[in-house]
Amino acid sequence: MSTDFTMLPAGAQGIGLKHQHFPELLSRHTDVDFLELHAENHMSAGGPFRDDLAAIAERYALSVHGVGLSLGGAEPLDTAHLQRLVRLVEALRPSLVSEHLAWSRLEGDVYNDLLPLPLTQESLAVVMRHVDETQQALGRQLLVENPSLYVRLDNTLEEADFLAELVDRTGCGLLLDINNAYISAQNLGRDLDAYLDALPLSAVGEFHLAGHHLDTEAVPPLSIDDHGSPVCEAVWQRYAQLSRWLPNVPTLIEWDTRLPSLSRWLEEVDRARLHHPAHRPQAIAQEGVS
Amino acid sequence: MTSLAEWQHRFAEALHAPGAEFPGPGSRQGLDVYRNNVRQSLIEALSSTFPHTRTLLGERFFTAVASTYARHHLPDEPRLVHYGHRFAEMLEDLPTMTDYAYVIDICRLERARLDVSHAADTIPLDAETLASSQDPGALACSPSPASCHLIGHHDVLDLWQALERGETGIAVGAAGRWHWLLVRHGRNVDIQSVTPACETLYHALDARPILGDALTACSRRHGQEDAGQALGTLLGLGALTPCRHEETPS
Repeated sequence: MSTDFTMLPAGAQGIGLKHQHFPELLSRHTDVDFLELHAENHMSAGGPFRDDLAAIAERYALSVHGVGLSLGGAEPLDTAHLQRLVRLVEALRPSLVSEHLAWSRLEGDVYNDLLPLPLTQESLAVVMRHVDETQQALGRQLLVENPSLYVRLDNTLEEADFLAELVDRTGCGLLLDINNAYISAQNLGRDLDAYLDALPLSAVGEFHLAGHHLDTEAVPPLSIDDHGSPVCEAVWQRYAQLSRWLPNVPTLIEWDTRLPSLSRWLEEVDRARLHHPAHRPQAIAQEGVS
Repeated sequence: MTSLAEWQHRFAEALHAPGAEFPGPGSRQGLDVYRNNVRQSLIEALSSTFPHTRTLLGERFFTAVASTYARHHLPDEPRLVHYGHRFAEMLEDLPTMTDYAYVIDICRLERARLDVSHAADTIPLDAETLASSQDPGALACSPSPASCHLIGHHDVLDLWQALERGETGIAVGAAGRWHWLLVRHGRNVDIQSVTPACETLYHALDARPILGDALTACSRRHGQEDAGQALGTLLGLGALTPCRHEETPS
């Protein structure tokens, strides 16, 4: 009988699921609490890729992270794609399901990126409608991830207020990507701590941590979210603080480009545990609380 | 059109115009990040789908062609494994490819292999099931979703096998009209050269999945003996599945 992975342990730590690591993940138990997969990479109708994923789902708790639903698109949701997501979630019974505050589809074209949207009452209504539709189709809560931004937008709502309103009116949760929040703060001159303070933190259902790089050729320099390097110190500091406040929230270390070996990736998980109160010696954890 | 829709149209237009600035308080460098993300991710998707084509064309030429393709053909859905269905067509239209037409055959094989790899699972029709049928002619069967027929213009199967082994420098076979059948077996997709009668029977069953009707159509064109052999080949390759399989929506 397979294990019930629908609940994650408090302060669970996970990494991304990559095809390159399948043999290693299947041949021995890896010390992670869950694996997160990009939904669109695992929607095969059949064949060996689906078989491998089923084998992974027997051994590990999963999180399904969508990148193509275009929640912030002005057009209606792609119902065929939503149904594919529903079938994947029904098949895998993941612990978490998440998507992005972004858009990617316009007039039949898919821009394979998480494009920004101006935060207004109109876009709030659009995202609310799409989140409602998605949660209804999935029959469960969706976590919505904050974006990393490279351009200033014609916002009439602050991002934290927009997300708070979205949470309040749809019942969705937040996937707080601390690296994204850091990047947006750097690129837009936003006060990171004020932004984090204004978020509805009680709705956070997952943390994302990742690396980024600084494009020094841009004027002014731009922090670019490439998921291709270790997490930076400033992000670790915010994570230590946030995980003290929200010790039960699961954490994912993302790595999507310049993919490291599984053992190198797990070193980053060890670092996350060092910063997390649930994994630190009791005395230090107590000190953190006081 | 709503103001959000208008805004997204303007943003998309700016993504399509290198060097363009987005009206409003955005920076040109910021827009470049999104532009590069889209372009780079699509080039990587093509590179992942067509590794042998990349080997044959060379990294620089492949990247240039893939970049052009990405500029003119955005995906029509978010699953990148389905991206690049017109890549071979675009290569075919390049004047520089005239002397390297065999690369287009390899490119088509790579695209078809990926489609077959991800297709729905079915139970193959076997000779025993056929033999035990009371009326084999009335049996409903169709090509397996995890199979595909391709027509090639050069005998590239030895080259394909060499590329699969990581070897290069294998001579390309004769030019001509070659029929290939790709069928998934377990984790692998096997590629077999088949007769024109096989092709006729395969497509006849695809159009109308009644075995007797398809064999009659095939016999009319290729003779009874070739049609019978074609059926044996398709059964042996596991390319048919009982009754029309409605592929799991994906």
